[in-house]
Amino acid sequence: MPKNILVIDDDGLVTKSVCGLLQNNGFTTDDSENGPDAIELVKDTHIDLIVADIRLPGMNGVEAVKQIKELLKAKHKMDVPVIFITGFSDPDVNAEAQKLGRLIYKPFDNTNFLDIINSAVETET
Amino acid sequence: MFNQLLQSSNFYFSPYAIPVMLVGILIFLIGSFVLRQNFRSPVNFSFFCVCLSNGIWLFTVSFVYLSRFTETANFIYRYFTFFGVAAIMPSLLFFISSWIGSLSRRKKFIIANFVISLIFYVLAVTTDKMIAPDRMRAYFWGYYPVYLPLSIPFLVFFLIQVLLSVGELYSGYKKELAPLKKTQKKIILIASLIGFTAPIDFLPKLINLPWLYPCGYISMFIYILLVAYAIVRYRLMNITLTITRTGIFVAVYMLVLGLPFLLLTMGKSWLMQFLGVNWWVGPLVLLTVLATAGPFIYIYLQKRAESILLREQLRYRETLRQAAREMARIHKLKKLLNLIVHIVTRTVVITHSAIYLFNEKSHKFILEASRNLKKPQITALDEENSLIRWLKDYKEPLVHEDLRRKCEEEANPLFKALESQLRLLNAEVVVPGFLRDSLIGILILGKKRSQKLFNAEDLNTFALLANQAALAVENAAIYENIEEQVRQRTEELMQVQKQLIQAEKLATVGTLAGGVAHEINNPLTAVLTNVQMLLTDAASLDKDSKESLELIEEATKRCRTIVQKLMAYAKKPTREQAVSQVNLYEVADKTIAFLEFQVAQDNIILELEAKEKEYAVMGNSNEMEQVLTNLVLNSRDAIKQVKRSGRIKISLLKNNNKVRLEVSDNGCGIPKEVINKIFDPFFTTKDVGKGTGLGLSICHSIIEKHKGTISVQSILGKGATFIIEIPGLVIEAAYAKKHSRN
Repeated sequence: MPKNILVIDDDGLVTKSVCGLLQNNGFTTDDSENGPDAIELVKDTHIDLIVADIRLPGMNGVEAVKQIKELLKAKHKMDVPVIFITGFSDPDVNAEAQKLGRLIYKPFDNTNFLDIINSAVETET
Repeated sequence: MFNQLLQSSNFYFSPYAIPVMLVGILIFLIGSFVLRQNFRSPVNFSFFCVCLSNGIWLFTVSFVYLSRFTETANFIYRYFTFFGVAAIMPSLLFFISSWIGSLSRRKKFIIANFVISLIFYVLAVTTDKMIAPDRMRAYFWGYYPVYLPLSIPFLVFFLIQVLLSVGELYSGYKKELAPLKKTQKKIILIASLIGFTAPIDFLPKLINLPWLYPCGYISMFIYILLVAYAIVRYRLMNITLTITRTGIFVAVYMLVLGLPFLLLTMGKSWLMQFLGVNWWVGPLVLLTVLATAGPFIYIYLQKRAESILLREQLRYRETLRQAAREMARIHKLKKLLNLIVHIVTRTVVITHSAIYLFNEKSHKFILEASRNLKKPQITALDEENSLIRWLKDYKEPLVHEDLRRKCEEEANPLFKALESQLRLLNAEVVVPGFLRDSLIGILILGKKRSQKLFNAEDLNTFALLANQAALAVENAAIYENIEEQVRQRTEELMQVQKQLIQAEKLATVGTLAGGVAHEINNPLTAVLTNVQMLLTDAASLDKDSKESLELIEEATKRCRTIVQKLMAYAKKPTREQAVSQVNLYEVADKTIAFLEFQVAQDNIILELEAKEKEYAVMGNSNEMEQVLTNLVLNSRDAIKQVKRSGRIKISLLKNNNKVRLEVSDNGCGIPKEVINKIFDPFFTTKDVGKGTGLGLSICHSIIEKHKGTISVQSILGKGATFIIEIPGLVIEAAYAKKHSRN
């Protein structure tokens, strides 16, 4: 069964491209433009990995991921891996993000990105 | 014979005798006073002889006038008065020779004069051929002797002596070149000419004028007064002025006392016609009126006379006083000093002038302004110089001529030193300028072009001018200092302002860069992801499409690099500056990796020199990177200033529990004047836009935070080395371990 990856980014160009890349490489994807939508989404959707942008309108990516993680922990007693992707964000927020998962700077090389995704998914399984 | 002198019945009161007696006593006292001033000086001693002989003459002759009988009068005159009279001229010649300085040559001549005079005296006492021993002439003022034929040789001898002394004085005066001495001789000559009118006493007998009161004692008194003054205080005396003042004084008091006296003696019968027995009221009223008016008349006449006589001096003194007032308004020191020397030289009409001002840095008096200096002038006077010390102690002007005279009189090493100082300074007068009791400058004056002497009033005016000038100099210095400070501060402020604007711009660029990075990174992600996706399916692509896609990928990656650099530039410091173990080797290595490429573009080699790979300190690696980056970029700029290529070396070594990190370059080096300022905030030698002046200051504060030190050594033109020393961690860790065990 293919792994389902949730991509959170407010920029449609990024979600479409990243989702396209992931699908081409055997993943299924869900996408969301902001934190609250993503939280709503995970309530009734199974996900194996989150790829989240840090700078999001309203709730930032780190906060959104925290809430999702807590939700999934409470509901399914599972921890979901996360990979943050950022173009530019506050160093303090970055440091906080790195406590939750890997941090990759945009724009990244596909091979590099996929390696990280694969290793994160494998660790999970 | 002598018994008759002790019997008061032999005398009666005569008003005519009183002034003569008083003058006699006064002259004796003046002589004693002058002698007391300097016992050893032949001038003072010979002058005392002159006074003594004149004193004897006048004091005793007053008793002749007071005598009731011929015998007493004749006895006193022949034994005492004539002794004084005979001694006058030899004493005078003795005095003149001492004064002129011909005493050693004239010794025999003077002794001979005394001996001849003594012979005449003995003749007068022992024979009856010179002064009639048994009779006297009786005048209204008293008895007067009858001179017999033998007195004619004495008179001739006396006159010859008078002529000789006048001749001697005149030739001495003519020959004298030194202005001061010339003035002294002029005083004595004029005084002598007045004094020699004293033999007027002979007139009543020679040409039978019984009404003529023998007033020779008055001219003798003037003579003595003038000469005494000249000896004691001659140095700055204005002879014309002194004579005028004395003349006016004598004239006024002759009038005040003389008119009532004449009225008393000659107008008795005329007054009695009007006032009867109370006729004496007339002279008394006249005396009261004249005595009251006398001082006013004297002051008025003196002022008038002085304004005519001293017109020139009053003019320049007024000019100088005015100049002194104007000075306070000049705020440029150099201009002020030049003005002072200019005004002084022009208005006083002197050969040259110069000003030395105290310099606080060098503790010397430096020549700051001069006018008409012909000879080379000393440019600086030490604070411990004898002249400066003297001026500080005595606070009054020094006159070269005066010092020269003092040196001639006595061998005082201080005067000798001062005299040579003034000679070296080409100074006729040195005037000190004081400001609140401290000597801030000295004014040097040359000779008056008229060859006249500076007198006391001149010096007072100069002292006033110098003190006013001192105040003005201080004013100007303060003003210039303030101006300079305002200029400096304004410049600094403008510089800081520029830098603030620059810093503001940079901050804006930083914020912008962050925003731009974020905005651009998303589309770049889309481009790169998709291009790379397409390229993974390379088999389906034709050769051209593949090449195009590869170009797009490359271009996108280049864009990514640009944005990453921008982001690094705008990188904000983390809120929590974590302190942890930092390996400076890694920091250096990372910095080199980061900057290597950048400096290589300027043909600069960046190298690391270290014996090991572990240089641990406690600190923040980001901050240490920042310090190192700053130092390396500064070194690059220093090299670029002077060379096309260069070398920057980062070296690490352990030194006494400390890690020592050095960044050295072979660039332009740091000038000595700025080396102390380079760690100051906003200090920069770079152009605006190239440096904020904050780099090294930030480095300094970071290193301080790391309990370390940063210093710099530089040879201008050869390069600079920044040295950082931070306590090494090994020791601290060992120390911590030891304590935890305890």
